Amino acid sequence: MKLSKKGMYYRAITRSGAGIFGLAIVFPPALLLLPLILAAAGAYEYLYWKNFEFYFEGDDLKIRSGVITKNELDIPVRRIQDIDTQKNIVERVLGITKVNVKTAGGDTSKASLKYLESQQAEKVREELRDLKNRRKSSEEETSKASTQEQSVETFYDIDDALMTFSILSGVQGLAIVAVIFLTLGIGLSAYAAATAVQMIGYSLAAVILTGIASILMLVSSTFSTYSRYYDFTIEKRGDTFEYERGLFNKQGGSIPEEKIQKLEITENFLMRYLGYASLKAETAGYTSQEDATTTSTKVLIPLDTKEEVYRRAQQLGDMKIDEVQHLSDRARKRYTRRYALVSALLIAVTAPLIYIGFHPGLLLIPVAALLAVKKAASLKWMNIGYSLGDQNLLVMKGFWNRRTYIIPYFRFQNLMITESIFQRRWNLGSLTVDTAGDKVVNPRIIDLDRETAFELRNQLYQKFKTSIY
Amino acid sequence: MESLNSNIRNIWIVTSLILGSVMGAILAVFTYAAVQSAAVAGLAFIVPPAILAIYSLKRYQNWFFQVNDDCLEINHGVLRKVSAVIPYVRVQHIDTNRGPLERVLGLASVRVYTAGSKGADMRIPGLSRERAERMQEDLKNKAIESEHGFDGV
Repeated sequence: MKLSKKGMYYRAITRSGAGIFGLAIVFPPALLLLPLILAAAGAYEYLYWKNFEFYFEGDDLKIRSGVITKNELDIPVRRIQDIDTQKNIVERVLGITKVNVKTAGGDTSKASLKYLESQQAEKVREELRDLKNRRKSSEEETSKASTQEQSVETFYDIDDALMTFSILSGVQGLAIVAVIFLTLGIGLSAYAAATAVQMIGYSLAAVILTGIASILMLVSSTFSTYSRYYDFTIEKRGDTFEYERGLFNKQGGSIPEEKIQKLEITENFLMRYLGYASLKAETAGYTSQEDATTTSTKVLIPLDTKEEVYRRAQQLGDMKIDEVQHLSDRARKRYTRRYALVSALLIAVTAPLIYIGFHPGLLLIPVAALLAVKKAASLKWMNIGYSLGDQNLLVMKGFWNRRTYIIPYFRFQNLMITESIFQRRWNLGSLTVDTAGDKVVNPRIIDLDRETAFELRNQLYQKFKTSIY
Repeated sequence: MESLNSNIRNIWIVTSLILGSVMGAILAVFTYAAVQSAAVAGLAFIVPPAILAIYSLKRYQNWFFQVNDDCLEINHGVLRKVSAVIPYVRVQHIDTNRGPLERVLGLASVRVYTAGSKGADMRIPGLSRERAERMQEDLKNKAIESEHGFDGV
């Protein structure tokens, strides 16, 4: 099979576009050579197109490419972690789609098909899915597998939840901006104010300004999320999740259930308060740092009630989500101490400011912080937890943005305990559970009692061993 | 638990003394410019190499590893202590490395790669050459032995 011819012209223009633009700025007369540049780019892209060929053979996707250096890439279908399709608004008009087929290997073992005719892209995705399912059913040779192969169910459809989801997911950034604005605003009013009345007036103005800035920010983040998750639908065909989303830029993809490394439930504080949650799945698909447009973390459910998300996660993760275990009291004491220190530091910074002429009302900030210490520490403590299920480990963390990971024991790569110098003073340690994937952040149970950490690791290691042998 | 070859301790201490002396010299110049006292400047010269050398010694003393039946265990760290367990089933590949300085003293380091994302590769420095070769062979066999048709991810 060949790439799209339209895609070839498109590549010639887009790939030389930046260079031409740069040239126009640096040395405008060089634009006289424009036809020559375009011809050269066109010639190269033609050769690229001519030399590019891909086909299915046996259980492999084979790609032959290269103008000067010839590349032969064979991807065994069972090693495919996930598939991405992308088209921006121009590409949509042209009817072409970019397809990425990802394995757990590095960047060079990723098949990047730029571009396919959109219908063909669909077909390739289908073909890969069918190959995979066929392979599986011939392996299992059970009637169950073949009936499962046919099954198509809508896993999730965003519909009416889109607007709510778009607003709620912006709340996180909004809270940060609001806190910074308010602190700065009150600080500035304390600087400018001579009397208490002035101080109150200025502070009110700061609050109003913060409100306006927050609304603007919320609108823009809502719009961005809205356009990205517009018309989000995810289907389960056999054992593969197939999703599609986007208002301007269309994104799609396939995630085989058996390739899911871990599940992640996220709830920011407002979502949690309202009883909502999101569900994501991570595969081991490799994404380079530069290509940030796609990650190996895929959204399965953008927004649903917490019960529903947990029910689905339980189904997928095959686990009973029990009461989580919390850390020891020592950890809570550590957080109290830490926050108290931060508040003391704030006072130490504020006091000289007042001495050099700021309004004493500024002291309200550190005093408020000091009053919140105990509550903040216990909230942080309460939101950290873990639970050992039959097949999975559950790790929960975070108050503002709570993440709950569900990790099958058989996905463990390595188990690591780290003790920083600060933790060592409290005889605490963190246990990191590493799985395959490109995430920089791994599930971590922080601030366990040192002995508990080592005991827990032993327990997890035993569970890992039983799960794979 | 096995310790590292004691030669690596010497390498670490010597390199930290060299590096520390350079830092100390710079610090001493600035100190002398500030306080005009040769004694204080001399003290400033000694501090960085002393700290680095003690750190290197501690680093050596805290380094342990163990080749178990089913996993490799690594413990190290001075300020931040790390204790990692790597099951052999998860080992993707192993390589040995010998830098110029290591070669002179007959040392090698072994690096064990897994498909994990963070701490995906673990390095054991300062092994004698024979130990490193034996370990590479050993780990390779154990990784093959424990494979059950997994692709490690």
